Amino acid sequence: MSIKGNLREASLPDVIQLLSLGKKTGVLSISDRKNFGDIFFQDGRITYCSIVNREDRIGQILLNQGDIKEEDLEKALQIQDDENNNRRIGDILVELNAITREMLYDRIRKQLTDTIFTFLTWEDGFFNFEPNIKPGEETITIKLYPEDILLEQARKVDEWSVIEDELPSEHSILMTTNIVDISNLNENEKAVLKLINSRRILKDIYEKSHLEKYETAKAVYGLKKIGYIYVGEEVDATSMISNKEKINEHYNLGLAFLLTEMFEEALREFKYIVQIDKANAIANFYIGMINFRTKKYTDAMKAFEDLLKLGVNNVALFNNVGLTLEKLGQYERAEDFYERALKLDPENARVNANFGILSFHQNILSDAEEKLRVALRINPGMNYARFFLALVCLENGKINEAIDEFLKVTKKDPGIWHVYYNIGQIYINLEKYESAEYMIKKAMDNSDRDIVCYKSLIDLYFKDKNFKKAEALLEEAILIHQKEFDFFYKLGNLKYKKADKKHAIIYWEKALLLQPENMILKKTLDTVKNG
Amino acid sequence: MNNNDINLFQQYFNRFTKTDKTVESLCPSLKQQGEFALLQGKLLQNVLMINGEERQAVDFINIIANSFRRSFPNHFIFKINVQKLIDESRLDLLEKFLKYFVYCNILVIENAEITTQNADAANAINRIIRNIHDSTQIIVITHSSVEPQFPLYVSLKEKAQIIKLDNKNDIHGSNDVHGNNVEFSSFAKFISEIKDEAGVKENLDESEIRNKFIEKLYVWEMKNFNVERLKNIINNSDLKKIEEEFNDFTEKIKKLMKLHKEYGLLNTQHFTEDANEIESLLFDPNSCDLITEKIKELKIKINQFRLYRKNVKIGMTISNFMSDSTNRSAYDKINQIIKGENTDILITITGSSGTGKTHLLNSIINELVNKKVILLDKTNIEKALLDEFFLKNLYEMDMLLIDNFDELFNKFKDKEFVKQIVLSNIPIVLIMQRKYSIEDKEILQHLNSHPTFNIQPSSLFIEKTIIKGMLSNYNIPVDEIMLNYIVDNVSVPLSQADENIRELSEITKGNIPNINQIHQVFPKREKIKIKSMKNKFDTSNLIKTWINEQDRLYVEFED
Repeated sequence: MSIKGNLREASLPDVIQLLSLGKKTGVLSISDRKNFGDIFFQDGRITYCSIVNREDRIGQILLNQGDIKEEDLEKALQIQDDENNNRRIGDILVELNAITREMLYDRIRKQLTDTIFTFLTWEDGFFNFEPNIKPGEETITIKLYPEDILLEQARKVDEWSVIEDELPSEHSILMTTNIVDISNLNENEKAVLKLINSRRILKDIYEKSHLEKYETAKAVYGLKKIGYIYVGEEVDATSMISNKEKINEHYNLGLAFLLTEMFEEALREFKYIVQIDKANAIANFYIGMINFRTKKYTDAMKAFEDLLKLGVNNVALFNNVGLTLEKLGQYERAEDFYERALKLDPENARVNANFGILSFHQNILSDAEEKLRVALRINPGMNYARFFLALVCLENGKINEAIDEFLKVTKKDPGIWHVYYNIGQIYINLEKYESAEYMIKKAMDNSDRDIVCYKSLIDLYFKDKNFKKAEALLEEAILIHQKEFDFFYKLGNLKYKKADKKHAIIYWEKALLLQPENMILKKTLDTVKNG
Repeated sequence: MNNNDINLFQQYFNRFTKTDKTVESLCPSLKQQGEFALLQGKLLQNVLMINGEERQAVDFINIIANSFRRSFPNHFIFKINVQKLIDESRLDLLEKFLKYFVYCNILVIENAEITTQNADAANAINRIIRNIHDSTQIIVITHSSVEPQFPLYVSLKEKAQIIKLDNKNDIHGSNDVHGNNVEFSSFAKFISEIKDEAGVKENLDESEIRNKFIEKLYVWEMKNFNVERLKNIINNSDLKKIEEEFNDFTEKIKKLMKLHKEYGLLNTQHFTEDANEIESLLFDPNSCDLITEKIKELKIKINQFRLYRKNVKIGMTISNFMSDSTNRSAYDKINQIIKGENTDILITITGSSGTGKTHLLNSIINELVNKKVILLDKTNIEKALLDEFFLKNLYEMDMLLIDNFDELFNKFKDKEFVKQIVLSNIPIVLIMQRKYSIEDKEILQHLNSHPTFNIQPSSLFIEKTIIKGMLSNYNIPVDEIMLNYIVDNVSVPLSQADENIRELSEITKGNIPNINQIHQVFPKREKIKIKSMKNKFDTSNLIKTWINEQDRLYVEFED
């Protein structure tokens, strides 16, 4: 089951609740288009959360909050290293008595609820659930009932909208005033006031505070309101981190967006990297790749060319350049790049297959067959190579072999409707209408009822003079593909043929709406109506 | 060794007098030794001691030394004249050139008896004998009855054939240190005694005839022929029968001598087992037919061996192969093979044309000079198929090399034959462009179960250096621009470029080549595309795009 959507259309609490009720295991990825995060579920319970580029290493969190000393963390890391990373850092810290297990879980819980709180404040963005994915082994997980967190956090989110407007930017330095008497302050405010030292920015205070983000923010809000603190200068956030760190952050985000197919956002992040470092090969590679995936082949080519100018010389790049050139119709240049890739790695299945497909498009069938067969020998599971090999066989008149190859494709991946469709076409050619019907129906089922399948099956029924089946199928088709002139027109014809004048006129009129300039249909309609 | 040392060494140890004499002029024992040596490049025995008349011994040495220079240029005969070294106080040279004596095939020690009077000379010669190679043969020449005194003399004597020469150039030879006359008379006496005991009486004529036969038999025995059959009939009362046997034996000896010559002309370097077997029969007149058969078999093997080494490019050695990161693993593997450290039975080297595969393959054959290594390629595979002995003898080879295996396999009609070769259990190194172009599952599995080494295209630097070297070999002057142009336009593998550059040298005649001349020998690369005729089957309605084009894309960046 695919659970994905827009945060505007489905609220995050609803989605979390749905996963909880369904006792799902997997990861829910959320993005507000600028940030990206994950919530891990196990049997419907939340076990772990993280936000890309935000500190989520428990050791570092404990250090930031002053729970452990630097030497404790160093010692624990050393032990972890000596034991080949067999144990988690939190467990080692507990064993070293640097922290109690209760405190450890308390901090993890705080991090988790803070993260969910942050997610809940995102009003716009996307979510996507991937089942059966678990957090890394090194992560300490706890199990929380989503309902408990949601109830608590939902209330905070409501209040947050009020507080948020009054809070300074996270990069503002907070300063204390000269008020000494703190007897009026509540415990949270007292704790937060202790953290304000005219050097720390608000973001640091969130991190240092043992309170949840919301509680800390609320205390800051209160302290500011009653005059205990005031807002100092805002530190330029970007100047505080090195270019390397910035690139790293954009890279992490870009990759996260890419994995969830948020191409626009991913592209933006990789472009940021190129702005910082023009010669960043990886960013250029991803820019090219994303443009290719979004079918912007000219832009893809530009990014790949930049890489070539940078002196990048590898199979992946040559293959992708070849493929992009193929898409741009520049077959000869594409050939050159595939050749270059094969010179570097003659036994690369992907390049051999791509070169074979290019040769097929160029109608050089012997080369195509040779290269596709080589690719399949290297990687027999390469379904698209087999698909094109079947097409080559067909062009060479080897019909049985073509069907065999197509069937092998469906065996490996039964969901590829193109293949059933093609087998169906072969059977139509061979006038084996029953088999053709079976295959095209299978294509239809697997293609989410693609219009091509409808058209083909309707043609088949007409060819076979099976007008009853054609009529039934057309009635189904017009419900799904309501803008297809042909379907309405043909259905009108069939009704008229059955002397069902009334329905014939209805369908023809619908068809005419789609093609108002169709004079023949207009005339036909006039004649029938007046006749 | 500097030039002075070389001259010194030549003067004292490698100078032989030119002579018009032939082995025919030598006494029978030395003649027999000489004939064998001239044919085989070696002596019949590992140690030969010649004692007595000086002229004969010196002639013998000069004849074989002069003949070796012509017929066996790689064979070295060094001579130590003990008398000369002592007279000229140059015994120090024996120490100085100690390590160079290792290289000699035959070491001659002349005037060896002098060592009895000179301990230094005895010790120095002893050291040389200890130091020489096991296969080095030794001739010791003494000119008096006094035996030499170098300590190894005794052990050498045990292995030696000793030839004693008297002043009349009589024919003598014995494995014993006693005089030959004494030996012959005791042998005749022994025969006579047996006859007496048997009550055989003969008249004088018969006795003379029989003695002649006995004398003949004795000479043959001395020549190492197997005379057992004659010994068994020599006492037969029927002289006619003895004569018949002797005539028959003589015919066989004649035949055997022919076989000696025939065998001597063969290069048996790579077939020592066969050679040893034949040599063990060469003095047995009863084995003429067997020897004839064996020589015939050996000839087939040698011819076959030559045929499958015909295409070896002798200039391609491991030392002139340019190794870099693109070919390092393959290069290391070939080095392992050459050093005898390889344990893999099958090694595949892949790489596109011009990457140096052929060079590496050829370097194996060029470095393993003493091994039976043959090269199979598209020019001789057909012959191998038609050759009834090929598969039989294949199993005797130390290694089989196969050039361009993918092309050879895919184009050769009898795939089963090729398969049989590849799946055989002899060590094979094969080179090919792409392993996965082989359509046979069994072969592919076999190749996959053994190591494969891929050679990446040579770096521009290497290509440039190789082409530059070739151009310089043919004295073609080039500037940097033309060199770059040639490198960019070489449309043939580097392994074949040498021939093209030779042609270029003929065209340019010592001038810098121009672009036209370059293209006369290096045709421009042209892609030949054969567009297929579409069949009548209508494929126009088919979907001809893959559902997910990104499957064809690399989504991860490679460093």
